Amino acid sequence: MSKYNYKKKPAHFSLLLLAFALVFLLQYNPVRASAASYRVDDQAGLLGDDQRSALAAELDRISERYGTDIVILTLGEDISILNPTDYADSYFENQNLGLGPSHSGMLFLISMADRDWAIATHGEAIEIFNDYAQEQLLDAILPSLRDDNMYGAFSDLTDFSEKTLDNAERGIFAEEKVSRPFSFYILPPAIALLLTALIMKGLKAPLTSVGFSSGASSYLLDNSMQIANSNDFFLSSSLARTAIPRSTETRSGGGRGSSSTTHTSSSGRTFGGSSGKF
Amino acid sequence: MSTLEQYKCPNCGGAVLFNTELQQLVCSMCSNVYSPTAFEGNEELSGSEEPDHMPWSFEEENWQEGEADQLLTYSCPSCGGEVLGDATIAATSCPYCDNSVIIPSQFSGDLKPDLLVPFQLDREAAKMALKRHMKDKRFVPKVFKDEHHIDEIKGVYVPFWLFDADVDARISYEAIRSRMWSDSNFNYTETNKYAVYREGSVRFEQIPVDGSSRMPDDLMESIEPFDCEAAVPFDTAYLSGFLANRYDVDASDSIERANTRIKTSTEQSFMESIRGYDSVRSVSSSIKMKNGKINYALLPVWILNTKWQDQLYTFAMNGQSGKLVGNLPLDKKAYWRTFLIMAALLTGLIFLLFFLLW
Repeated sequence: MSKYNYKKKPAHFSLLLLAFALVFLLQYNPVRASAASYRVDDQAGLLGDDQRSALAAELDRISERYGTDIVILTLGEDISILNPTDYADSYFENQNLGLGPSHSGMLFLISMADRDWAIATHGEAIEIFNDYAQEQLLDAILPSLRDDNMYGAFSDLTDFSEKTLDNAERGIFAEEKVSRPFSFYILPPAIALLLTALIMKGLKAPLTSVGFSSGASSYLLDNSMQIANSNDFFLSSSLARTAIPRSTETRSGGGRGSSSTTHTSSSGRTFGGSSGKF
Repeated sequence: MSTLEQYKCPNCGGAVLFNTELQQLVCSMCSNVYSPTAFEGNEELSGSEEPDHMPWSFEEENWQEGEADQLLTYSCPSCGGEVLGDATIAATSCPYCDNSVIIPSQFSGDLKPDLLVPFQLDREAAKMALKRHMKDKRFVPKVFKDEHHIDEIKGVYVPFWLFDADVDARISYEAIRSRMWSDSNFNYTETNKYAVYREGSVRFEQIPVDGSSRMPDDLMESIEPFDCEAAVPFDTAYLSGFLANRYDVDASDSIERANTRIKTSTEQSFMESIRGYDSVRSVSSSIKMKNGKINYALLPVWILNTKWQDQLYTFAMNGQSGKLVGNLPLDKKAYWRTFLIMAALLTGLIFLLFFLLW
């Protein structure tokens, strides 16, 4: 009995271990399990194997380096989605994306059915990939997307993400592109020319030393001036009043997050993002 | 034709020249030193020679009326060579023997100067002053700075009229005093106008006005001031070794310039006496002069001439104070090169500022 018991014990133990492992594996996100691939979910099959693995490797490196998940999702023409933003949010939540305590991450989605794109940002990434960063990102990749150069677009996205994350780490966030008026380009050369002319005139002035004297003050006898009569009469007074200009513009300082548009997903989590067509 | 004067050493007969350092006459041969006044009364000894009469030398009809009057010929008391001069020349040097030639008749009677300020600085000082003048000046062509380019240096006693006057002035000014303040909504500027009246007197002494038409007036005014306190009574002995001209612009023609300068300075000095206003401008002035006195003086000027690229550059140095003036040529290439570089750098800099601040 004791022998039997003794023999049975290891079998129970391994079963138990197997059960634990199973539970553990089930609890763990299945996508997470294959950590190398979940960041490029090419359901539409737009990328070749090499391209997918190259992108995934790059995204893995960046995501882990900066602690923000960068994920690309493509949906085929067979999947029709009503609202790309909602879909992106849901995918983000369902796949349990995001790193760190804030589940920081950015998901970029394209749907081939209606040629939609959507961005979902969560956690710290909301501030990092703010509205201006998203604009810049789309400026960079939309032309490639329109040309169906998906790999090119995603490569650009990868590069852009790294640059943006790196900037954010140094406290630099994307800012509104200022459209500069014409005078911005005309004034500096004009001012420079004027200044140069004045300085050069000053430098040239010592070359000329001949000129008429304006007066004869050198020959005015010291202390010879006698004022016999001196009167100061008040004539008139005028008062001018000008209103102090008030600045109507109240710009909240360009601090972090001030330029990120957010919304709340159906589950109550806060997402940032945008969407459109390509 | 008139007699000439040449100061000769009573000891050896050599030419005696005025020495600026010693302020005495020094014999160029035996270095004996004489006081400038030592030769007074010696005119009959030194000035006894007659100028040449040369009836064959020119044809009358070739000279326009008045032109011949302006040319005078003298015969050098030392070598007999012909010295040609215009009507104003009073002291010069013989072109053949380089001896100093003084023409006393140019200073006789009404033409006799009242005063003379002797040269305090010599030829070398003038050369040094010119060097200093060009040193550290940007955009002066390098070739020009080379001292070998001074073609001519001459010490000239220039005729000047000196004006003394007491001036009575009555001047009206308009003065403004303003005050600024603001409250939460407005900026206020209060401007108070005043009528300011000043009446008084001031005295000017020895304002020089160039009495030689050959000397540019602006050049002469630029080397002012002259300190006529240091003037001595005129004696031709001081002229030995220098050039001199008698005046050819009358005192009456010079009065206007003196008046203008007196008026300007009077208004200015009375204006300076007005205090406590933000701005003052003169509205009307009435200036009356009294006790006006005009003296005729010879003042010492070093003239340095140089020709560069077919243009004559004249420098003048006050022979008393050492103040040297003269316009310098501009190295256009260097000037525009610097201009372009500076403009480019400034443009870049201002663009940078714009980017940072816009």
